[in-house]
Amino acid sequence: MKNTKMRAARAEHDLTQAELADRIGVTRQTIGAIEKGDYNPTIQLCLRICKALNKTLDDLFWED
Amino acid sequence: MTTRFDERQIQLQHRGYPWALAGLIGLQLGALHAELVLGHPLFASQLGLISVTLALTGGGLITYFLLTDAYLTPTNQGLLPVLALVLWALTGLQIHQLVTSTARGTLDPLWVHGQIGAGATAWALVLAVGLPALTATGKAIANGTLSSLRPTPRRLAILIGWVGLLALTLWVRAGRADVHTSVGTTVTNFLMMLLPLIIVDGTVRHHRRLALAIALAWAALLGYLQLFH
Repeated sequence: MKNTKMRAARAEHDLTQAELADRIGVTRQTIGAIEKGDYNPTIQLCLRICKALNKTLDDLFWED
Repeated sequence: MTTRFDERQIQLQHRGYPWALAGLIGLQLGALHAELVLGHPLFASQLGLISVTLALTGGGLITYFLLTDAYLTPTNQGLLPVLALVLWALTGLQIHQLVTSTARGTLDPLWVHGQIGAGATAWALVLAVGLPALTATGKAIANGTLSSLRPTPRRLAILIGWVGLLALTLWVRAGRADVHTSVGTTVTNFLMMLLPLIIVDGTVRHHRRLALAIALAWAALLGYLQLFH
């Protein structure tokens, strides 16, 4: 399932996939795969993404 | 700064290595059991069997990692065009060696008396390096990073200096009757000596010192072999 919340949060911060990837030390393709729903990140990576985007786990990864 | 693969890359690598091992075992068992059908061993030598299967599975594994963006660490992703260039150079050298060996009649046969001969290793190596080269190039084009190889004043200066050095070497050698190495070999050696410089040029800053040391050591070794042997 696509993670539209994460994509929106990234756009909110005016960050490209590459810029976000650079901040949290992963590849751009990993960010792309998470946003497309092709890859389920571990809780550690979820937390790093949340910190980089100033969001909570619920904001980005909890399905409504 | 240490560079590490990210968790998605590690996951893909953990998937790739067992598949490659299974492929290697499968190919070797398949080749060994082909004897039951053929009535004689498929490979003329054990060395041929091992080297061909290793080259094919190794090349396949690197291609898989390149396809899934799991070959280079996040900080080294920008090196993909350089990697593609180096892989193409190695493929070119391998093909050059195949062509010259064929022309001289020194290439081991690919197929001999119904068996895969020792020459198969050279062809398997072309595949093992050529397929990753093709994949890396495709990925670099898709990522839009291929433009990082554009000519810059520094790169042009290196290239001009290198061509000048090659011309000087050939000119000096032309006047020496006791040197018998062919011009083709000299040019190939110079191309090989250029490879580390290409890697250094594309290496990210925190790796530059180590890469430069390796490049200089490599160039010194090949230079020594080229000029004194």
